Amino acid sequence: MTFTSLPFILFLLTVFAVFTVIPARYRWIVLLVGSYFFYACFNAWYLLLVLAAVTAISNVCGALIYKNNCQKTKMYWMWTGVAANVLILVLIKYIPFIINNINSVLGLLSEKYELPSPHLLVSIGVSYFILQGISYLIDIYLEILEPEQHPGYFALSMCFFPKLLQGPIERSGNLLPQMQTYTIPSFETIRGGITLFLWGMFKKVVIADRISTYVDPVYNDVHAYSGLSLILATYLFAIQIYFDFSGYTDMALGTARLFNIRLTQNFNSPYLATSTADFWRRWHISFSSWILDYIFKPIQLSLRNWSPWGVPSALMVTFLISGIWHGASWCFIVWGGLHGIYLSVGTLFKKLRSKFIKTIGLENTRLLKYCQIAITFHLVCFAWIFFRAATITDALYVVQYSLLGIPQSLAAIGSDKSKFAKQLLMGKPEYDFMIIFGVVIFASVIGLWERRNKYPFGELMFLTRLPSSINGFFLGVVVYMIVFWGARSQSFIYLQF
Amino acid sequence: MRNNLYEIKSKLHSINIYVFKPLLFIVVFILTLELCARIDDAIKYGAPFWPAYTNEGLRSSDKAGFPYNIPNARFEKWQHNSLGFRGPELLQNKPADNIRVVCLGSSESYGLYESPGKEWPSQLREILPSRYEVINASVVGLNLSSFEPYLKKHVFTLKPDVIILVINPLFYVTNLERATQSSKVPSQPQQKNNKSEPVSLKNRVLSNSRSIPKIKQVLKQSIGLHFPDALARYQLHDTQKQIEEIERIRLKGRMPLDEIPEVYVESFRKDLIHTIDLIKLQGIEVMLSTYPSLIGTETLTKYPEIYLDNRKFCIEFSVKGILDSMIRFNSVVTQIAGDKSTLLVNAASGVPKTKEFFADNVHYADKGACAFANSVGYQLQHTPSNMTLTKNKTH
Repeated sequence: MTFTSLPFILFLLTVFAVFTVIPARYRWIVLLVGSYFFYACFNAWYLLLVLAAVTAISNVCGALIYKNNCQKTKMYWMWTGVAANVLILVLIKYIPFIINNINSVLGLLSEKYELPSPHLLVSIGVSYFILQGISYLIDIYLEILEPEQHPGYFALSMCFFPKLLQGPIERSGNLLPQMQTYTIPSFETIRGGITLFLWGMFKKVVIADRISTYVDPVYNDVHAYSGLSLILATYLFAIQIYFDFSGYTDMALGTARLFNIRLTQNFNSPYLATSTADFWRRWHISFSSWILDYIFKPIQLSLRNWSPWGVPSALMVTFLISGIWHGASWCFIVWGGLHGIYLSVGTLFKKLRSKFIKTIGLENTRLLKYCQIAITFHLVCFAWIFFRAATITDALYVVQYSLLGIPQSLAAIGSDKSKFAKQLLMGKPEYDFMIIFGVVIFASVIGLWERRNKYPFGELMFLTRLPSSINGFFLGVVVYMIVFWGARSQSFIYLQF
Repeated sequence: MRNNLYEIKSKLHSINIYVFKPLLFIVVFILTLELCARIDDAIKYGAPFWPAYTNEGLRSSDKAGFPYNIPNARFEKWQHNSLGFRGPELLQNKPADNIRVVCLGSSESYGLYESPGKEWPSQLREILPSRYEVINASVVGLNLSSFEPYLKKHVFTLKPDVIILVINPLFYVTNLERATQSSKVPSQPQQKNNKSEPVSLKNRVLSNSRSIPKIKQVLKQSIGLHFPDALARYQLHDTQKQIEEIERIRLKGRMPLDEIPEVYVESFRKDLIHTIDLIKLQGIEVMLSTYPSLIGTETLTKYPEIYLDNRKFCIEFSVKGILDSMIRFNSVVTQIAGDKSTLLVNAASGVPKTKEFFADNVHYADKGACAFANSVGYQLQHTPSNMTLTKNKTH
């Protein structure tokens, strides 16, 4: 039951209808039962157990941390809770990866030794609510937060269905206070929620899923392509993953708004970032701020005497962990490592860079900004190759033959333009590509228009402030495109994490 | 006084917020959907913006009532060339070294559910070497009894080398049955009062709207995808009710036939032999095909909705009767192919009877059309008659 499916729409309407009808004090029960039902629809019963276990561990350990006055005992319970959560994550997600790698090493020594490899379990949403559980424990330990006394409210904050599968990774400090009161949202809030939900669906089914029909054939069989085909697929993937994930986030935010709950915004025009550090302030914000607060800062603090290598080392470790979090695969680890290198190099050469910019007289100029945006975008795209490729070998092939294949592609353009265009467009009609181009421009214009407004970014507040007729026209166009121009049956990319 | 004014003002404000604004929003929203549908049709299919856009513009029938395709007509994915055939433009006069193959059948050959360019004659065109020129001369609603005038008027002029005949037996027998029944009933005097009933606004909106049918179709697809069992149960129940109603009106108490009457089989045999002779007289090779469909003993319990759906168009026959007619007519086709020494494709067993290959009872999905085209293509290229064709060409 993904957000773009008919069953989800029906489920959402039902939960919303019951939520509005039932007395306020029982509303949390509706959302809690609804959320567990939603999770149960993925037909993996153990996921419900995992969710319940993480909720129980975090709640109990949180209470124990708060109750104890002794610092050592507090720390003991904090580490117990964190370790239990991490252990669950490892058991669910990483055991096959670890065993396969051990087997590879053992295989080098002798063919006799091989550990039985377990099947990879479905782990939808697990990494997200475990991170929330960990942050809850650490926040209580650091006395940033008081534990939630009501187990029902706490359980709901962990499993609230709009953010259960792909985040945003909510901090309990943001979500728990909203879980205390359940008022029926105003007409304007409902309108805003629906608008945001539809806009997210538009990004997902009209843009991301359409683009995937170009990206998937290439990345599923990279060895059949070279040159411009690989380059185009990589750029398109950069666009696809942004619209896929930000589309999901918009839908999650819009859904939560229907229950008068505000979730954290996850994106802020990431491809307009002027550096990779800036990129991580704009991309998957809830996750990047989480790793910054709970991984980077503690490591940086412990390495503070290692100047100048302390910060780069902390960044490398943080982003390698970030890579592993994304998936049990060497591709994700390399992807995280690449971002770690970008940021470390950026930190190490910051002064030199500023000096160079000053020397060539580009300081505070628009040209510099555009150059920085372009360079950052290309660095990010390069890292996406490892993120998208199925194996490291595939990724290395893409890196190598994207460049080596360019002369061949150019020669193909020279000899038979139409054949080359057909190959580049994967045999699809030109208008299909034009539609993608058009909708990406449309979404970008809306995004840029929104940036000019004073309302919080990413919430499309400016649209709900428009006259009803213009709003109706806008949503009419968006709904038409979702229903008739949308590609279907593509899962969300970030659902696998 | 001031308080009253304030109250009225606030009431008006409330009405504006909770009634007018949402109403305006809904009206603009609906109009936008309709506008988008029209623009979309205009861009994708070159459809006119204001006038009604239906599939009625694709076909017409001549004075004798025989159907034909309107040249250059287009509706959504269905497009005719200047000669009224589905497929690329072609020259009336055949190029010297080409082997011209004409595919003749009704809706299953014309192509209903396949993606554009995936109807079986198009797929056959892709399979065969370029010297084969494949023409899809099929017309929705064309049946064996209307083949003769159609062949004379639209096909023989093309001077084809081979004509592939795909005959829907149910369609043939249904027409025959109705013709027989209507001859028994004295014709009713035509009502003089031809005053057309006023069309309600609702019907006018429904028939002119472009967005409503599209939305209905998407909803149906979506429900079918997510709740297939529920949809199947509903459709079965709904079809059952429709059949009861049609039976009441058409059969008027008669029982549907469990077996095809021998006279119909003979009539079919006679008509088919006559058509083959007519074609052969022109020096054209005939290729017959058994009729592939989802109908078969193995699918009787698997797809009950298919049989019920068939009965809507073939109310004169029971489920058993439908099955019987398929088997009997296919055996007649096979027998005649042997007697008349024509090429034969046993497509009835070449296309698997599953929903992967069939979009409904007799119409193919892309995969089914591909399987059919492969059977025909193989036969065209691997039979001794094919050699004769080539020899004729070279001479």
